[in-house]
Amino acid sequence: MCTQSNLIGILKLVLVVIGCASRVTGNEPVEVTLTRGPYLQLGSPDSISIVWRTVGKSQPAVHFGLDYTNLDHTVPATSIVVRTAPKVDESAGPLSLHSAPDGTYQYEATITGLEPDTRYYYSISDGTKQLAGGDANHFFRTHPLRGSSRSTRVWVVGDSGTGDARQAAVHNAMRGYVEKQNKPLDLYLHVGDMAYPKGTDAEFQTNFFDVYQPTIRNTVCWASMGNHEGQTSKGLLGIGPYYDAYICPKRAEAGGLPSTTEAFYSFDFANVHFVCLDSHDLDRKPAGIMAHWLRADLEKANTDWIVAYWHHPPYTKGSHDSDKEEALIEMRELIMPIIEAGGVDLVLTGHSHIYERSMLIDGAYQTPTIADGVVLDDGDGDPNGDGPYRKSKGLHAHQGTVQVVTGNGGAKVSRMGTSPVMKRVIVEYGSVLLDIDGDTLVGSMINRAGDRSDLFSIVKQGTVVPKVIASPKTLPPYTVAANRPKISPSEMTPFPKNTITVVKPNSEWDYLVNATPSPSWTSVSFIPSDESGWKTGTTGIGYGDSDDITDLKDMKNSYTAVYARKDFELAPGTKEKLSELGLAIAYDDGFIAYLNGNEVLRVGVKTGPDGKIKDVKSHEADGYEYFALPNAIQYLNNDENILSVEGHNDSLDSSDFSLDPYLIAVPKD
Amino acid sequence: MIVKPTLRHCKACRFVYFVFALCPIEVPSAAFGHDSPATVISQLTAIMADKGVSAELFFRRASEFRAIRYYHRAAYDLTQALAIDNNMVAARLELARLQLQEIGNQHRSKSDNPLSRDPLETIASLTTHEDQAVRTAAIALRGEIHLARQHWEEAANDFTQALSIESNLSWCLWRAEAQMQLGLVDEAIEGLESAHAITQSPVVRRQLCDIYLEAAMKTRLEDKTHGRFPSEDSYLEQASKIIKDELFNNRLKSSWRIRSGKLHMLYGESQKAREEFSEALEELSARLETPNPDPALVQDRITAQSLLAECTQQSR
Repeated sequence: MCTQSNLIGILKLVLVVIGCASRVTGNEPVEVTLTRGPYLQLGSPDSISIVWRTVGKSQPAVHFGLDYTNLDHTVPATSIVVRTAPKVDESAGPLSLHSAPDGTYQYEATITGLEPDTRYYYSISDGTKQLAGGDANHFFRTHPLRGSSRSTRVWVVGDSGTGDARQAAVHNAMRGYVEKQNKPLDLYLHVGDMAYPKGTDAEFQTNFFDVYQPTIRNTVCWASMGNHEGQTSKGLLGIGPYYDAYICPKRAEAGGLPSTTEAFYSFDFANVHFVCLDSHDLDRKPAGIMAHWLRADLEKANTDWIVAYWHHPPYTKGSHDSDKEEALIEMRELIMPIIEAGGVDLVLTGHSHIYERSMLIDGAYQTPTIADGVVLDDGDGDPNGDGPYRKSKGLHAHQGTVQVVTGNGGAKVSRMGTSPVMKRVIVEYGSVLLDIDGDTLVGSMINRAGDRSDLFSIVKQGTVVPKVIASPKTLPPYTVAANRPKISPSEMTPFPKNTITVVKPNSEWDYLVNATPSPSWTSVSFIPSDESGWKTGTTGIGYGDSDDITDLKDMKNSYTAVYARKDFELAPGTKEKLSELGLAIAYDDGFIAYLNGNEVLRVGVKTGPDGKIKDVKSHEADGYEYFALPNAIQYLNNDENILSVEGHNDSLDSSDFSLDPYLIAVPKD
Repeated sequence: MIVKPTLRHCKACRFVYFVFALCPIEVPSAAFGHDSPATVISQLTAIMADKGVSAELFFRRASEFRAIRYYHRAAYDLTQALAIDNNMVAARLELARLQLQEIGNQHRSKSDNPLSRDPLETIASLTTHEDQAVRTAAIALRGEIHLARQHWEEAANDFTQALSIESNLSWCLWRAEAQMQLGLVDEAIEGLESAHAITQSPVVRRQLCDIYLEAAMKTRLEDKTHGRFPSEDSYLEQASKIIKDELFNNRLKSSWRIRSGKLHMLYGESQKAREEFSEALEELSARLETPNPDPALVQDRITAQSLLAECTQQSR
């Protein structure tokens, strides 16, 4: 039968090439450079994979042991699979990487026969020359035995792959939080979009591996594919940079049932069963293979907890709308019934650039999503607030699921509304830490400043009879527009024609009042934190005249300056296509504007800044005025940018103040 | 600022067409990567108005329309893309997939809509395409169309042809389904056993078990008339092994209890069959305690109730 013969052929080829890999010897001397990793993949109670890349052919070796000063075990060469860039060896077949730089060799070393729940140190080498490790920073911990009730910490991040300061801040904030608590990660789940914009090999390098190296050398990242990776990788065939980067279980190597594909899979860690689905490019229909496998996998799962994760959220009103988009609707209408009938406790997703967390819900499959008849607990789930969500001990169908959308790992966050089933909606960069200990699961959203922005818990004890709340307490509807007169462009300063709006009017800005900002507050790398007084508000910001959305009731007679900053993204190649950048602004009285830390415009303010603002000229806001920003285009970055504006009142007792800017651009043609 | 779809004609990308054959696509995007489909559509529409149309732009917009379930608009844009570039393989396959969705739709589109046209006609030119990957994708998709129309022989042949070039579990399962409809029991079992031996897929294992049971049933019926299938015991033995194993290992057992009940019925053990169906129904009732249950479980309950009634009637 053809299927069998094809697969057997592939297996034979794998064996042949593995054999070849073990004979890597004595070619012309080439300088070997470590270009990726080492990082961990596919952990289990008795095995793990260590992956790294070099440019230049090496003699790969892995040493490991219980003490980093004595790495007394060596991985047999036959356990190291060598994969090569397409041009290195065109006959490599399935061991060819999809699209790595010329001269790239990828090594995938599988270590077996390990003790469960044990920390091992490791090093990787080219022959006798050590490339990395052999120190206290390179270690892994094997999974505990399946079913054991060991405290487990999981990091969950989504939509992070920008490679910019926001992504780094979210990562660093998590690491700082974990270090402060002295409770290390056991697992890392990525819910997709880890390499913007197209998931190319180069984007994986700069936007995933370079950023997360300190974490992934110690913790396995269990990935799910996002739509951006889906532009270059294909789930049905398991080809592309995404599938080059990850080794996911196809044959139930770490628990669960064989999926026969790396696109969806499951694994166990202690008393938790994890299920990863491909919501992007596989059939989501109930009769499809993924749905059939999911049913079978959940029927077999027999742990205390089940956590499922994938990219497209069933419930969101962040940067995407789950009532309107097919992938999101299908995950809700077609997959969620299987998930909840199988006893899943928690669903983690991304795609929508926001943090949203639901109440305890069940059966919310209809479109549009409504809260009536689906909420089992409308509290906030906070152990310090309304108390944790409660479920019966063990796994039970339809006892409620908590949904977490954590697409706030780096890509620009935004919000278009409120999903009726959500209890928390936070437009803030961050990621999620899960702590599962016995019968208790605790979820925390850690923002990029390292603060906990949300806390919820599920406790599974005794027998709980689920009951639908008749009139659940839902969040108020989200409204952007405020009751204020519409501000029109001023006739005094003509606007150019055919413009593109880069930063929209009346959008959300970070702002600081009644304080002196850090000297770096206008730079991309600066992180506005709650602790240092930064807030978020919709422009215009000010008081008096009833023309502002964010009302500064305490400004009069208290302070004269407002500092505001707004991040925005530009696709690569965009700035080259612009002929002019301009600021549209309604202001009262003066302001200084900065682009990525560079002053680009000053109006009505003679001296300063640095807290020495003087001679502010009085000016009444009378519509949006246009100011071209000559030479500002040179300051634009690909991807993340920051527009900052400091507004100044001419006196403490002024009757009003306004700061209402937006940014536009004129394309060359 | 538009980036063209990355369906390049490189060696690796040829395989992309296999993907088109199996499921609807999401087309590559870069500049609009973080925006919602509605926003991207308005941006693309503005660019088309400003700079003129192209096959790529129509294709790109079609995928966004598809993402928000505007299938008619998606089909229209794909037709426009093909009007500009008749050789655009991706657009042709995607249009055929949209048309395939319409098969069996009682509220079919009007005849002047591209959605209502015959998908076989849409992909006809691709089934003889010079590129093997494109050809295979089109043949597999044709098999899916035949399957939806219950043209079993054509479907089985197409999947066999596609499988001779590329391994794929879905094609394997669909071929077995068509073969069973044609009465080609041994062929269906052989294909699934081979696939299961290699993959250990639980999905294949389930279908295989169902086919063993169905084959045993057919054998019994055929034995009475023609005596063509002498291997009923063998089928039952194979099914029994799988069922016992799954009942031992699974937390949720209802679907396997139903299979076990069927097995007992075939062995003439009505009492044991009734017990299995009753236990299956008990478990199902807990899993169906929701206003919007999993349709597969609802179907299981209907099956268990029906077989339980049949058993009870037999024992009387």
